[in-house]
Amino acid sequence: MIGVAKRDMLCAVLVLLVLVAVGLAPMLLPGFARARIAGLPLSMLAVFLATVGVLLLSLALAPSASASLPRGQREDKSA
Amino acid sequence: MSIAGREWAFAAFFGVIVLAFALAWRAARRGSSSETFFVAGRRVGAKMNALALLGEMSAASIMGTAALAFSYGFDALYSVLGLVGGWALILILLAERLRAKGNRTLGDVLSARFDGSGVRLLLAVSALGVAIPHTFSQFVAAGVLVNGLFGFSYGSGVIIFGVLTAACVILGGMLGTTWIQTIKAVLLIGCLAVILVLTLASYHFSLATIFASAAAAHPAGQAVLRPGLLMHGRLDAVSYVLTMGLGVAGLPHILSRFFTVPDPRQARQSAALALSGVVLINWAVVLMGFAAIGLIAGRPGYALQGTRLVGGENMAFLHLAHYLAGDVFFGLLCGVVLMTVLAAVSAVVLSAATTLVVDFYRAVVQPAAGKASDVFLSRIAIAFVCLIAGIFALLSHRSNIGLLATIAHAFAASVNFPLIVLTLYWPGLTRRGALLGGAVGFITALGALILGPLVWCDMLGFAAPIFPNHYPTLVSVPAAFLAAWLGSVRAGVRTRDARSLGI
Repeated sequence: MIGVAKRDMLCAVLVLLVLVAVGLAPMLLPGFARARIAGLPLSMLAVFLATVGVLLLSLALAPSASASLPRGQREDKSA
Repeated sequence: MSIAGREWAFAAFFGVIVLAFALAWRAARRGSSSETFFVAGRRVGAKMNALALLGEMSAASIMGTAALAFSYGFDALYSVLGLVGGWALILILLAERLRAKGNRTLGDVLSARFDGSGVRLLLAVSALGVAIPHTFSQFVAAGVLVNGLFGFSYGSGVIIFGVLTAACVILGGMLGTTWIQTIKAVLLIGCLAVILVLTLASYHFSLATIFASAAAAHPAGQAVLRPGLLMHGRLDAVSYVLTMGLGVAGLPHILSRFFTVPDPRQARQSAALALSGVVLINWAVVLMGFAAIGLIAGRPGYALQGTRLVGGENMAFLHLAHYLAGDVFFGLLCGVVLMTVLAAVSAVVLSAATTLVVDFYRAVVQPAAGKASDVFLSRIAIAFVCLIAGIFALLSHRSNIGLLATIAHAFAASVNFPLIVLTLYWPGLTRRGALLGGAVGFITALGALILGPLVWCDMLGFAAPIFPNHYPTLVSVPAAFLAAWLGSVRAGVRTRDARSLGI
């Protein structure tokens, strides 16, 4: 089981890769750029689903800060 | 705009001024301790902080995104990709951990790990490199809006906004700014909802009809539904997405909002709510931009010819609102847009002033100075920042607002983001690595911008750029990370607080 910090970094990289990939896809695949589904551009639908997917992934991740602080320092000690 | 619409717009503008002053005055009565002035007493709840974060979205962001969709179609989605990515990075990587450090500025986060003032000073320079173009561009936008809507001179608009911003932030500090941003967000979301419903109703709630109409009305035809009208290739698109995304995740005035909530859990909640809002608002605005093509492109009174609009391409959103909802709503919306500018620039100005006092004056110039004078000094710094940005705005009426926004995001992505992420996540980062990484990111971003098309060709008049891309992040961000790694691995010593970070 990987640590929380590594999990967060991996998810961050995954988010960036997915968003860049879905943005590049219509540039690399002209057929994908022209395709329609129910009258809607498929590439735009893909971008929409990607952003919603990123939102859901981000919301689903468990909180990390309290797990990353050493014991005895989990409470807010701000001055 | 008709006379009736202008009267309503003026009334709304006057109402915004009165409301902003009232909120700032009320915040001032809550006390002017350092904790209240800089971080709103750390009592801002998650929901209010989320609305305030949404309130950070500038008018340029809303109107600019709609304008991108109206003029360039699909390529506006690269802005959405970048913004959603950036806010996701804030939620996943930054919000909780920043709040867990319990500080006032990003410089405080770095100084918890690194001795000496060098790293703090580097981040302060970068933060000002972000804040000044950002503030400058907002003042230019305000001057243009006031001139276009009310007929006041551009200079009068800049001066009015400069004085209003300085007064509200000096009086209210972070608490007043939070309230202004929150109310602005509520009003803006309400207006967006009304325009969205009217837009969908005008197309019988058929998304397919919206896109078909856009393709029929736009001069580019079906190409408006495909990439390529704005982006100059794949590398341009990728670097634009990274500039927007990593830039948002490195903006000091956004990240400093997480110091205002009581605990890391609420920091995370506010980031989650803000991300949800960003997704909804941006998609609504993009949809309205596409809808506007079919409704106002080529229409007398709104368009000059094709997609060339009266007042410029940034008027797409306002023209759509006027076409669908008439003079009264349009006038009220103008007031909300102006409040949007005020809310966004207030946060940037406060962040810049805090950086000047905490990261520069107290850390470098007068380390022995007591905290008691921080609020007083910050008020002077706020006036100074507004004065400098206002002078630049008065001297540069024709400034390229897009270039200014690119500069701000480029520095935030190339310096702030790498430094903050490495500080929070990599125990191997040393002081030398942080300094080297930040310096390389700054120099690379600056060099790439100057040698790129936006400055080398558009401003200096050369035929071909030396750096081919419009945005520097594809080079500057990896360079910053690489330099930080190279500067650290040879040191062989873990920083004194690496273990305390729990990483």
